[in-house]
Amino acid sequence: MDRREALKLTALAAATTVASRRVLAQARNPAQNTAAIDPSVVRRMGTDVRWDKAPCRFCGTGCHVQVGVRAGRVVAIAGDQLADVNKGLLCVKGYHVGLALYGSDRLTQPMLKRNGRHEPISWDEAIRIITDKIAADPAGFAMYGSGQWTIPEGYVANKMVKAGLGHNNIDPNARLCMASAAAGYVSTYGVDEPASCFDDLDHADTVIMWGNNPAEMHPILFSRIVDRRARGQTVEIIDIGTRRTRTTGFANHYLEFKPHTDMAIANCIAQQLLASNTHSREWVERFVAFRKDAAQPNLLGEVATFEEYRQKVARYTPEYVSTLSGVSVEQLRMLGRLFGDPAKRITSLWCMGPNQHTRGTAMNRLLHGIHLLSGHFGREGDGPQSLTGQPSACGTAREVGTFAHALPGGLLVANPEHRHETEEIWNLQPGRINANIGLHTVEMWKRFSTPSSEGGSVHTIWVQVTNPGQSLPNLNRLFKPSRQLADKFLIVSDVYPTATTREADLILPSAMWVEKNGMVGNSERRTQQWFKMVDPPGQARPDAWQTLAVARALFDRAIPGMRDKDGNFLFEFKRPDGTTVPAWEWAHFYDVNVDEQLFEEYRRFSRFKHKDLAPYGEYVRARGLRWPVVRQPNGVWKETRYRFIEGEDSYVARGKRVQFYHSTSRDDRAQMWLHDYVAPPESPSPEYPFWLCTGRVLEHWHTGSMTMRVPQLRGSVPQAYVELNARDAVRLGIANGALVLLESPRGRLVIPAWIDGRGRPPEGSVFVPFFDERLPINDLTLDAHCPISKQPDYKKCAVRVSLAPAGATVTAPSPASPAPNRGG
Amino acid sequence: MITAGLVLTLAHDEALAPLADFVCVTVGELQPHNRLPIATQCDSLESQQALWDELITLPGVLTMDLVFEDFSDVEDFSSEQLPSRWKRREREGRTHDLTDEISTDLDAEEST
Ligand code: SF4
Repeated sequence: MDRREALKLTALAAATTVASRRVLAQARNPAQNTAAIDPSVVRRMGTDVRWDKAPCRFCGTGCHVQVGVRAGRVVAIAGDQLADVNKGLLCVKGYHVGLALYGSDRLTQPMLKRNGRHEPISWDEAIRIITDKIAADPAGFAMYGSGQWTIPEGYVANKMVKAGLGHNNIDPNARLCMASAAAGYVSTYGVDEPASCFDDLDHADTVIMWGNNPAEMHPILFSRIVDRRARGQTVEIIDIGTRRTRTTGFANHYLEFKPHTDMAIANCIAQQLLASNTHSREWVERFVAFRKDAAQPNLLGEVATFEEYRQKVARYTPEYVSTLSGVSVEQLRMLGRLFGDPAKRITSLWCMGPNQHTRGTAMNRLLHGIHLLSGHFGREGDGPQSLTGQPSACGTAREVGTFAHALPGGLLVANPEHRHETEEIWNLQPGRINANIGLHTVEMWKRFSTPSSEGGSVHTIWVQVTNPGQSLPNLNRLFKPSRQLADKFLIVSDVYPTATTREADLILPSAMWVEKNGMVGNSERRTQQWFKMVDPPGQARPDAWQTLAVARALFDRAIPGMRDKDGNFLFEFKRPDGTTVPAWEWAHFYDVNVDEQLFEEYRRFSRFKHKDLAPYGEYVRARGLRWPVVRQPNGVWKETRYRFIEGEDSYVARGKRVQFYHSTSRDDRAQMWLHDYVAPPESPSPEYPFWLCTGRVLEHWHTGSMTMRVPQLRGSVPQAYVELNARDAVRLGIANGALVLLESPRGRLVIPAWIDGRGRPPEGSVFVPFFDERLPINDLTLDAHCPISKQPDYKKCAVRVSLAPAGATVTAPSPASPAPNRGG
Repeated sequence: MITAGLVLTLAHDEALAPLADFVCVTVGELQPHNRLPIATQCDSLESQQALWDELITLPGVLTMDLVFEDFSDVEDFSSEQLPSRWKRREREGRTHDLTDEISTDLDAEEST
């Protein structure tokens, strides 16, 4: 048999194994399976291919792949049949995660901008330049990281800034995608992250998508739902959105609402439950308390009563909300009846829609509220659950606490006890952790783009694993001005050239995915681990090493914060015999498992908020474990599917049934918040008559820096476009493919039109994906943000749409002088 | 050559017949719940993508999931050499004239 035939049979065998399984993309007990990939695949690929597990590099679903390596190169990818999350399946992005390593324009050496050109320099020089910048002005230094940081990478950066520099100016790009979800969880349950898990998708009678398009953004999770239909089960899908998407095509009901009125719809459900007396009395009496905003909105608010709640929602009748939202009275009544039916199992899913919202925290609270009010909580298939877009938005940004207000394990810089606990674990002098919350993303970049003489107090930013030159909102205000300011220095660690590296003063080449050890945490509290499998190209090195090397250089210069209270370096790595390994020297970085030692230190934080993590070795064996992972009397480490529920969560006391043990009202109750609908900060006007919504597409991951290098993905969707409604197009004389001029008060863009395409916005709305760096839609978006989570709203601002003048090219001219800003 | 294993979920058995027309597709045995394992073998990443695009639009094909892919024959590629209509247009100095190709591309995409 020739190689071609052997490979074909290999592929067919793998597909047959997965297809013959009774249930696709779900499995309760991976121990019942015998192999991660079909043994025939292993046999036929040959003994020179070594297979190992890793989570997919891309989205927050956290699918596991088996990576085939031959002669130091990734040559094959197979779905991991032992993985609970994906059970052997991967989406089109996951299959090309191996190829994403091998674009020949990988960054392979440090480069410094001199006279407008990037010139190669050594690592030693790069580290010295960064150290000079920080040593000269530690308070003017900030780090901007990512939900793509591995857990150890984020932990090192967090500790270097918060312990080493004594301030909290570090924030992840996760501020832009799920800060509102985090604020919603904390203010509702007293602790972040979903109580439930992906198992809900296998059990729900109805799945409601709140401004969410999982058919494109979380395709494996969506497969898990629609696969149930293929097996003859009935699962109802309700799509509540502002434009028709691929998800709509599978939905039983599509409820199209006017942007921002989702808050009114949530209140309308509550109004109906109370008016028809179909709310859960048991939940109101036993498990919830009520809260309203304080004068200055914050996470705690003020005590409210059930009666106040009832009065607050009373005006949100279906008739009133229909006028406000555009959703029909009958559709709103359908939602009310649904939540009023205790026999139904209802899963609410959301992602960027309710999060990228100037009332994002409020909207998240309202979603939790309708589930709590109706008692649709805590059973399989019955509960609210937010999704994340990045592989470790939960694991690194939220759990490691790389936000400007956070410390590891859900602790907060503003809480004296939490600072004390942190100082104990890090062995710091008491008072070392700064009590002042650091700069959140928008503020950090605003200060970087403001002249020092005008209060621009951030002078150097080190960006790791993200692309703010494309993904920040209102780029003409938050990013571009800094590039004209001589005293602002931008350092960027990345794997490929991006819109940000092109503007960087110093570029550091990073190792990616299986070119280094790693750990991440997905959307359902699942912590995952993998080992390095191949070498990075050229001089590319892991971000964790880069940070360690800088921290050590600062230590060597006697910067006091880089020592613990005993005078030792903040980051000590030990061999089994107790001797120190200088892991900050590249030659010694892999002498020990740096990830394991950092994780074991970090793990000590996880007990405070009942986010218990198991020892590193447990993750080596598993395909991820959902925290809290609690050691049982028999020595087994047990993960938790449903938090706060007796019998599922080890921390719920016997007889309690439901116990919100981090309740902010300290009575084991969750908080239900009172919020009115409020209008968005910017709405269409005669001058700018259209809504602009931005987002993602299936084929490209966020800013496209990796997926635009994979021929198949780039070939499928080679460039961005503006989706237009057909009636608007006719009225404006715009043909499919014609060039359109989009203008907002902040910027403009010439971009081709796609009329009634994959997504179909209603009249008066347009949609533009943000993956294409040549067509930066964030020149137009506004930086107004939620007052609590500080997450900006990328989903709605006002634009003008017209046929581009003859001779216009597809370009993104920056305004000659920055347009007046209307963002908050 | 790039080899992939996929699972198609079919709405009905009749969806099987058109698959015989594809020389690059090897069809496996139909499994319970109308799940069909197939293997595809293509000379390039581009032709593989074109084939997959066609398969998913066949009448009666509900979903297509990937299970295995071998790309050991794919050489290093540069983002400058990637197949891109954009690049072709740029080379041809036609960045302002996208109408024909864009509308064709997007219409094709729409049908998926
Ligand atoms: S669904 Fe997300 S994690 Fe899974 S394969 Fe696709 S991109 Fe990767």
